[in-house]
Amino acid sequence: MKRGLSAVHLAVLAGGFAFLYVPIALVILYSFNSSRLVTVWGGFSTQWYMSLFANEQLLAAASISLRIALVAAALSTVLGTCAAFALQRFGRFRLRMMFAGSLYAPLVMPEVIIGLALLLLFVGLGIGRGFWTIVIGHTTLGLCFVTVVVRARLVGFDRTLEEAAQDLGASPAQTFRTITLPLIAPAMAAGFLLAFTISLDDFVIASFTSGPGSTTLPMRIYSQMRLGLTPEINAISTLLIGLVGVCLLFATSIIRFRAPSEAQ
Amino acid sequence: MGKGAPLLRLEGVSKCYGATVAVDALSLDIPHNEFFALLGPSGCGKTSLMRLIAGFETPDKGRVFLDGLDITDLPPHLRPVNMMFQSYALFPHMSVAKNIAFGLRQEGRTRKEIFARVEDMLRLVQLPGLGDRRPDQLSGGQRQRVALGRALVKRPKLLLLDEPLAALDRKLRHETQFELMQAQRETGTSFVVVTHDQDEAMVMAHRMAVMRAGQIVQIGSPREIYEEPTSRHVAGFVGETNFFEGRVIQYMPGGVVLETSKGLRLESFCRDHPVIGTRVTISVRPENMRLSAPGILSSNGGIGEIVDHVFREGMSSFRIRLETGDIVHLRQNQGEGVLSFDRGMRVFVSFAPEHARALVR
Repeated sequence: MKRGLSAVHLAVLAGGFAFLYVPIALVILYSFNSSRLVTVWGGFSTQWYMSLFANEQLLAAASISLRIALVAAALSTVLGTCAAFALQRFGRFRLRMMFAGSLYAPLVMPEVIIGLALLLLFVGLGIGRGFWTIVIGHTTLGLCFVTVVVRARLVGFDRTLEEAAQDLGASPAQTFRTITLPLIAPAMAAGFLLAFTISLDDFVIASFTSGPGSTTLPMRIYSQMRLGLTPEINAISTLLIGLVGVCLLFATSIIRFRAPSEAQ
Repeated sequence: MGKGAPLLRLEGVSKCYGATVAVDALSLDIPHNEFFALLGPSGCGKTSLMRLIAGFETPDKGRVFLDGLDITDLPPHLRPVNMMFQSYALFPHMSVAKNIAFGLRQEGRTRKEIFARVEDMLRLVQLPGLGDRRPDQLSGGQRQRVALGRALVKRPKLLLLDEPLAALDRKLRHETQFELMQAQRETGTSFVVVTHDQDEAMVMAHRMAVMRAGQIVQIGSPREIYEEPTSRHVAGFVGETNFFEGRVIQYMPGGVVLETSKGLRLESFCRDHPVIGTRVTISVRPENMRLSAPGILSSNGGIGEIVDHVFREGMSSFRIRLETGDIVHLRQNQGEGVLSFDRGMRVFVSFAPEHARALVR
């Protein structure tokens, strides 16, 4: 007990982790269950992953979800980075407070309301709902996460680096490409991954903004669940958990990895 | 412009930030191959002046010429002037060699030439073999030399150095001063150093300008500025000095006699010709003050008591409180007969009129 972890500490730690992760662990565990009954353990098997890859409906939904997530994350990254620059670099322009407020609003606004608002807008404008309307919905949500992460990076950005580059003969555009962009790239990558995972597991906004033929994975899982729980759901959920987990791990390690070099 | 024209010419340059005048109608010529220092307290406008020369700021009034060409409206990346930043501003995501190569790559030099010139520069700044390191793997002194190399590798006509030694510790600062002077001699580039440290300016510069409130108050060699200050401000800012204030009561050849409010009558050299009754300040450097036993040589000075005696860097420093209440600093080499004086003794403190300067401003 040299490191000071007493039995009480360990118990609290275990309790906390159990509270957070036992449900997820169960989903992963039961995805390898050979029994047809979701709640009864019948031995180890990977048969549900096999049948999953034969389930075209689920695979189609997964492919739509992935494509939406990629496009929405890319758009969020570009727009969010621009917004971060506007907030951090353009001084006190008119309506700056309103701009910041409306940018960060989706962070605190209930998703149901965002979904409803988008639905009203698309119906009102007569835009057919489908792939792109979901992308727009997810971009509104994702770009504020990107803005927060990139702006944090810009706050600590040493602008004499940009002056030094210009002093050495780099035009403003070259300076942005060779100095600014590489130095904020980790924040942009982290923001991209956050936006990607948010889009991937969003259910509420997608159900408001989707149309025929654009059912995302969470929506498909939900509708299958209503017909009855199948072990396939556990299998696809496990894959989803894995993907999101990897993305978040990347995002945090990128943010953390870059930190020491800034300390100097 | 023909031969002998200055490398850099500032003509009536002004720059305001809101209501604050940072640089006030300032004119300055800097010739080729000179080590020039801009000295002044923080907020005197020296950094603004440097940024005007580098192109990060444009003057509200006045023109900036480099080698006869008007560069006032040229953006920083098109000016053949490089700058070494106080924070060094090394690119953290690039190796030392890439940092130094950055300016050459912007010029579109061939890979071979860049490699050769980076290697040469690493040797000049005494960092051979460290080209692959990252800036955060270097010591403060090494980073300073990378910054110098990066600014020099483009062979600029003029190199600006913003407080180049401020981030180094005392000992390293001392060595680096001489390295900077050597780099200036070897490259033949004109260096303009901005500093608030008068020792730095005195040691390194061929010529220096003392700045105050956006203007140059005196310009000259370090020796001229130290020995012939033209104003009380310069005398007090550059080096230690003793001030005696009083009114002119009489003239003497080459100078004036003044009487302080406490009744001391002091003779001093004076460049100006103040009328009788003018308030003037006499400046006498501590090393020009003399100590003697009271009663022997009792002119141009006063009687006082030694309150402190410190030995530092081969010199004896005394602090003497005169009977008039003034505190006088005095510094003398060991072995000039000062060893017999110590704390608590009554002494006569005096100076030769030719070592004193009576200043009207």
